[in-house]
Order: sequence, then C-alpha cells, then structure tokens
Amino acid sequence: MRFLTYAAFCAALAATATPAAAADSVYSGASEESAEAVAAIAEAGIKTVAGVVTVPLAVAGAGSVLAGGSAQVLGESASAVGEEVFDAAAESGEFATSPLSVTDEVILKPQPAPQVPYDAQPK
Amino acid sequence: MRAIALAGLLALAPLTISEPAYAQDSSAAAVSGRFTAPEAAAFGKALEKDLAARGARVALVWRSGRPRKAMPAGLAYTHGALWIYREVAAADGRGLKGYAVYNLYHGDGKARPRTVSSLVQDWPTDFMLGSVEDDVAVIVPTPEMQRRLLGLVDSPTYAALHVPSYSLIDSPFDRRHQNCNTFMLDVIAAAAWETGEPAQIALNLKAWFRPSVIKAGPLQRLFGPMIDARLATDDQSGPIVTASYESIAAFMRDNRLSSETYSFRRP
Repeated sequence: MRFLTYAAFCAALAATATPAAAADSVYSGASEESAEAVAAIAEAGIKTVAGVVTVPLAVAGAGSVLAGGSAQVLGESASAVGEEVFDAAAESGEFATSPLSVTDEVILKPQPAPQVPYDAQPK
Repeated sequence: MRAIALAGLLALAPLTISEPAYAQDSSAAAVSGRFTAPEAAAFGKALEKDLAARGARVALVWRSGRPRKAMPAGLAYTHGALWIYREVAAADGRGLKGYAVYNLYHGDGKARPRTVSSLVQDWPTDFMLGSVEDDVAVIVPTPEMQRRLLGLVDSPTYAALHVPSYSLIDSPFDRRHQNCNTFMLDVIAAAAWETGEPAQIALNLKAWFRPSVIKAGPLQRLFGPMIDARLATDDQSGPIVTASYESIAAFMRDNRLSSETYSFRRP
C-alpha cells in the first residue's frame, strides 16, 4: 500500500511537469527522420537541393552558427567587430525595401560527413 | 490509504489540465507529426515567398510546437527563430537565394544534455516540421533594424550573446539561463541599442521590456525542476516571467522597431 501511495505521488509530480515536457522532442538533425523527410519530399516531386549559407568573410572562423555546435566568443573584441559590421550594413544602400527573389527549390541540409569505423582490408 | 493516493492524484491532475504553465519549444529539428515533410516544405517555401515579396531580409518567425488549446492563456507560439535572406551555395555549385533559419535549440538528452543549448542554422522545412498548427507568427523589423540584425548575426557578437544553460522558463532579465525566445530578445536588444554587453542589455530590458507572466501553480513551481531539469526557476523572483512572441512583438511595436506583425497561414 505504501508503494501504491508513493507511485501515485510520483505520478502526480511527473504530471505537474508534463505540460512543459510535452512541448519538446529530441534532436533529429541528421538522423533517420531527416533522411525520411528528404525522401518524402523528393517522392512528392518537389525539387530539392543541399546547400550551405555563403558566410561573409567577417564571420569566417568565428564558428558562431554551425549546426550542432556551441560557440562562445566573449569580450570587447566581439562587440567591436559587431559594430563594424553594423556600419558596413548601414552603408549598403537600398535595403529591405524592394521585393526579393527566392529559389523554387527547397533547400535542405545534408547529413554530416560519414563516420564509418575504418577497418582497412588486411594485405 | 488507496483513497488518499487517489485523492492526491485527483487533486493534482487539474493543475496539469487547466493550467499548462510553460510555453517553450526549443527543440532541435522537432518533428511534430502534424505535417508530412512535403507539406512542411511547401509551408516553408510559401512563407519564404511571402517574406521575399515584402522585401524582408530579416524576419522573426514563431511556430507553435504545442496545440494552441494546451498553451497558457495569452500565448500562442512556442519556438522563435530568425529567418535571414541569404546567398546559398548549392552542392552542385550554383548560387541560390533563400531564407536560412537561425535557432537556439536545446540538446537531445543523448549526445547533449537537454539543459544545454546550441546555436543551429537550418532551413524553413526543418522549422515547419516542428509546428503543430497551420499558422506561424511573423515580425518584420524595420529596414534599419534588419540592417542591424543582419550585421549582428554575421558578427561574433551573435554567439557571444548565447548562454548555453537552457531553461524553458528563463527570465529575460537574468543571464543564468536562456531559451530560444530570450536569446532572440537579447539579439534584438543588442541590435537596437548597438551593444553586445550583456549587463547593459539586461539593464535596458528591465527598463523597457514587459515580459509575459506565466501562471504556475505552487506545485508546478516546486516540483517542476525536479521532474524536468529544463524548468529551472533559480533566475526567477516573484511571478515567473519570460519572453514570448507576444511580449517581443509588443516591445518592438512600442519602440518602433518593427514594420509589420502578422500571422501567416499555411496555403
């Protein structure tokens, strides 16, 4: 009976957090789900293409937005670089005022480089 | 004793049904099941074309990773990200134009703890796969704010603003934790005030940003962090406050940082 009480209490506690937990699912970035999605889109006749954002030179090497990575660049230098980029962007003339063109193809992320254990054929 | 246990369950159950307190969804490449992949791709492309027609080089977009009926009162969306018009190098060498999506996602609990987030760039289809509703919310910043946001995202300041410790109910005024919405608010604030200094941003937000207040019962506050580590409340004093689409939209509108705010329905 004590076990039943404990179980009921735990269930109730778990339930209190359920609303939040229900909001999230696990990372599936380069997994089977991703592969299935790519296959389904292709089968539907939608044109797809693997692509990567062309990174401005100012960002190259900062590693700020790489999938799966977490980068931190701290200190005043980061702010200084940011302000320079602000200024560069501000001088770019016409901006965000006229229609833009977008490819009809659906851009998707490729899976990461293969990671197969290397076992060379013995000679 | 059985009656007591049952009574306990019955007493607590309504809290979960009538008061779903938390409204976050920083799920990496979440797949809700609401849309097939082709539907998500079409939804994403439709929004891309809508943004392009408006000339938006930077937009803030929110999806709902939870059914609307399960959302806390006054909140309709969970996960927000920056959509940025980009030159894209295709694998076949062509140069394409489209929107890339810049997210903060928490870990999957396997490769990375769910209490740790990272900055991830993916694409509109990935974003839409996590939606459980037929609409997303869009804020188009003013051209000047777009210029600043673009400059910021392309600078090391963007990553410097990131706090890896993840909380579903992060306070926007405290940098112990962060989630997708509070990170986006920090990015907006950094662009608006042209500063990358976290302390200055927090000070400014405290003065000018009115957060969303999340209703949480005492049991949810007390036991939530024990059940789900993402429900950290050590950065909260008083009512639970956080950033949401609604509070960020109001902040940007009130401070003349946005041109348009609208809901975009799946065609």
